Amino acid sequence: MVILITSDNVKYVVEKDVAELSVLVKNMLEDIGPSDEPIPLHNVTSTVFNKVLEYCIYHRNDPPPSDDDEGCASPLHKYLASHICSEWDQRFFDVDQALLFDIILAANYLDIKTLLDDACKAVAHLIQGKSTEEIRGIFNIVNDFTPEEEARVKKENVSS
Amino acid sequence: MQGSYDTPDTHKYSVILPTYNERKNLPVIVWLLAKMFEENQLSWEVIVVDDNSPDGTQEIAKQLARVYGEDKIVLKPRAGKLGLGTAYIHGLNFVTGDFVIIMDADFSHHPKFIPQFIRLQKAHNLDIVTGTRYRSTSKPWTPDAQPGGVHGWDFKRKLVSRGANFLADTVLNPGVSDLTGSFRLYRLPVLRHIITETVSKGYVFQMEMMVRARALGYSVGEVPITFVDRIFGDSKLGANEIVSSNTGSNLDELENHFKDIRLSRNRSSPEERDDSDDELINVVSLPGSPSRTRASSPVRMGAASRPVNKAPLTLSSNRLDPLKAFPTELSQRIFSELPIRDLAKCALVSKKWARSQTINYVWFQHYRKENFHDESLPPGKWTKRESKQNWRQVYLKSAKEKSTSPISTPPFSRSGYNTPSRRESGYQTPKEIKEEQWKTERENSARPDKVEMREKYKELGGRKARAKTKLGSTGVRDKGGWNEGGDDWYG
Repeated sequence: MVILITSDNVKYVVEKDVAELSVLVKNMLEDIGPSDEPIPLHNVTSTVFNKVLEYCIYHRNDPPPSDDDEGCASPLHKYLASHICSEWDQRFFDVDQALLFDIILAANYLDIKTLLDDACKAVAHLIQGKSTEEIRGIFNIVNDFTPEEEARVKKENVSS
Repeated sequence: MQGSYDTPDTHKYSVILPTYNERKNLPVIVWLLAKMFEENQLSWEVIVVDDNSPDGTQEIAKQLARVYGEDKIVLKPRAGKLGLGTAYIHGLNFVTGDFVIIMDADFSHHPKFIPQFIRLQKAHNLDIVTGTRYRSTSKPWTPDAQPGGVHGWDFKRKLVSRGANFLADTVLNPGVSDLTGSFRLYRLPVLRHIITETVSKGYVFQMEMMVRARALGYSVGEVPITFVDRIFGDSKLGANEIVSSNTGSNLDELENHFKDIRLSRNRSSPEERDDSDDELINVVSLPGSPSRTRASSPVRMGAASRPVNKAPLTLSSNRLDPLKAFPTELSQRIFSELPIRDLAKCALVSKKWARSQTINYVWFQHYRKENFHDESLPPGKWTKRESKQNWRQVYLKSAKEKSTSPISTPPFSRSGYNTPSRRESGYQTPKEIKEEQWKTERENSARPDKVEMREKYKELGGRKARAKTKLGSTGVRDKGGWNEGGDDWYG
């Protein structure tokens, strides 16, 4: 068992194999050796960590990601992969956007590759197939183009 | 008194730590060393040879001496930056142990390997034990050694290091696989002897030491180590976590100094990260490459002196914008998941999105993938020149040509990528076609040419033109956009 403490001082007692899905925690455990001391996770709040933990517990038996699929996966491959997300994962990432963003930052900090990949895909999914106006709405972005500028970019895109 | 146990091991181990600007690393490395020695019930001391670091390394060393005892942490500073070789000679004058360990203070070398060094030394009564990055078993063989390796080095650096080692090995035949490493355990008189014979300095110094050791007939053992290129400042060790979790020892005093470390770590937290409109594009290095942890020089002193990210310039107004909410590499990840159609639409979202170098970089990668159908090609270099191109336009244009052009592009061999022009044979590689196309594009665009720009500079009378951006050695803080003015690039 590993004791983890989030930035808002919530204590979690987590099974070792689950905790070690985080490379950060795994390396830390390796470096400090067997110890009952809690490990502080400074950049993660309990709200976010609850979700991260949920993911780690569900995916604890997944085969570890191979290193060599990084970079050489074609866009098509990636595109397909983003659609073959399991139903569980889809439900998991069906959260409000601020939380989804926090999950990405936490996964990045904790170094959980699969969660980071999946969460990034989930954000990409938010953008896919949406109109520009919808994208602005999703990310709360103001359209600061003048009509001429917008027309020009549009033309560039259409002429392709 | 800590550390003076009455154990079978009556030896005392002196670690000579040459430091230069290791203010942040020193407390952690000392803590790891102390922990390792205490756990193994060894008698120890650390001799800090500081070359008058401007960052206050010596102050830290003094505080550490108060915490651990002045017999454990011995500060022996020197007046200036006098080099690694002489640092050992200097440190040797103050050694009270009978074995000396030399290592880097910047976490290239993890103290956890030292017990293996000691066990190997004892088992075979060796004079020298050296850490090797290029063997997977210890020599002579011991059961507890883990495979060695180099983490965080790019291929080129591995090659250079390997090459240096191969050359030295072939020419000098010292029988040691890692000559350039500097993580070693010496019997004190042996080190004294060798070091007086050694004449070279810097990187070569470590090699010469090994060659001389062999020539003088000393026995050398090797332990495979993993060499982590400057753990600190990036994941892996997580210095502050280790320290914070060590509630058992009386490190309260030290805690203050670790605040620095925390701050530097937490800077990457969402609350404090620089989320201004600027995107930090790492010129030349690529996502997935170990650039962030590359040490500055073979003699890795002063690694801690590298600049840290600046404090936030502006406060964020929009945490929901992926370009603002995430570090560049994460935004890149997200946008590279998008199909081309959707990516193109992103240019219409806002000016920031249209000019974003993050998205431009994603286009650049798409373009490369499309045009060099070789997935095994290394990702293209992203330099300042590339960042000035609008890769969305380039990509879309090339895609259009492909769909309209009746001639199919000739099969593209990998070797053709770097070969000189084949124009004389009437054959143009896609790269050349593109280059010509870009050239005409550039000429047609309203941008002033070189001569005009020169005139303009003259008019400015020595003042810097606005269009001149600063180019750092490691990165460019890009205000967005491949064309300064920003608003007229699509003209």
